[in-house]
Amino acid sequence: MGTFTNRLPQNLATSIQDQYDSLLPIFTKYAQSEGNQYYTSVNTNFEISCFFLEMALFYKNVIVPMSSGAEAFTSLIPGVITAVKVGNYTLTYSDRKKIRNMESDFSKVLSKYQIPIRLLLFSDVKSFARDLNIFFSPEYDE
Amino acid sequence: MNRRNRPYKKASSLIKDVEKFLTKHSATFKSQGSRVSHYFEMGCYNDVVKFYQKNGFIVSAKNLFGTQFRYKISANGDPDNFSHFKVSKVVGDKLYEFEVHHNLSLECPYGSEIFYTADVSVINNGSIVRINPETYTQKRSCCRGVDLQTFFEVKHMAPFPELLFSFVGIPENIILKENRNIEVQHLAPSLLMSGKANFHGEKIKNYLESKYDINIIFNIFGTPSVIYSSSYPKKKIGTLDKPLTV
Repeated sequence: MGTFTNRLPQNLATSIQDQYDSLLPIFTKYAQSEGNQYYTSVNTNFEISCFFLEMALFYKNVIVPMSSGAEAFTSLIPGVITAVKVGNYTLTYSDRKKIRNMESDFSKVLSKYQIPIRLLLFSDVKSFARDLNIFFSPEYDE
Repeated sequence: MNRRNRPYKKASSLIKDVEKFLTKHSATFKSQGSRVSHYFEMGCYNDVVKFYQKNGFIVSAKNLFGTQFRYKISANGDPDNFSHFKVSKVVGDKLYEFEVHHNLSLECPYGSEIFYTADVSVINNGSIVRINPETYTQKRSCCRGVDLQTFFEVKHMAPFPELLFSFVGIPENIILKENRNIEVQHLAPSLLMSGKANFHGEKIKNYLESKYDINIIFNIFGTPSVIYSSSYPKKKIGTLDKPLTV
């Protein structure tokens, strides 16, 4: 998880790490359940599956909320509001641009590996493991 | 046939690309990372305003500081020091004007000096009052229960049963249900959550929504227009009429 969290502020990094630590044992249990067809490919590709879990948590906890913040002052009354104050911080157009660029670069990575966004927006770890298994299965892109 | 770059076959390449992405944007993650939960709340606040915009209301930003909109990200602070949106619409010969506030203190309509701060609230225009309650050592600004049209609780987390069940108690004690006209409708009090529910969560939501006049909305990240789009059916409540004065 360090790949994703070591660039984040401590509080956010800890929160994501805690989520990962609580989900990993459940995910492992599903992935390594003997002879269960729903998780065979996840089991075979366990290491990269864990990386996908990390990436999903990072996406949900970091990228998506940042993107909604970046849209906060442009979508309602275009041109009237040029900056927003969030506590002591002023979010400017320049910040918005940086967030949009970041979002766009992440989409490019997903697109390069044909990873669907819905895979990252999972509700529970069981459905994530099942969706990942389908994504890994040879039939997926036939 | 174009074969996809299977991630499990190209794992090292995927990891390398993700690391490159993280390094490139590390300054953004460092500087914006501590504000992500505020950003989520701001997004929901704006989506509530967008609901009125989509329903024919004119939206204007009020109490701007120059061209800067100041969000009220905590329960503390005087609303005069923060911005809000005003929404207006004429129906028939009547002008309806409401204010959409962020973290505004609301007084329970059934008991004086009992307050609750909703993440997003829709109130009658110009209805914030400054009072000096006996139970507090300082003056505070709030909206009386008779002026509260609707409110929203925003949670940047995954749904869990205790949270879903506990939400239903708030509208029961903060919202007046009687004396509402249906000419202009608001979204019913809603719990807005970033997380997606599992099967059990969905079941609880359906049960609670069938029993109370509330909305429980999950997965706002996955369905960004869910708050304001009419494609997602939601419960609504009418506009609270002003009590008749003799």
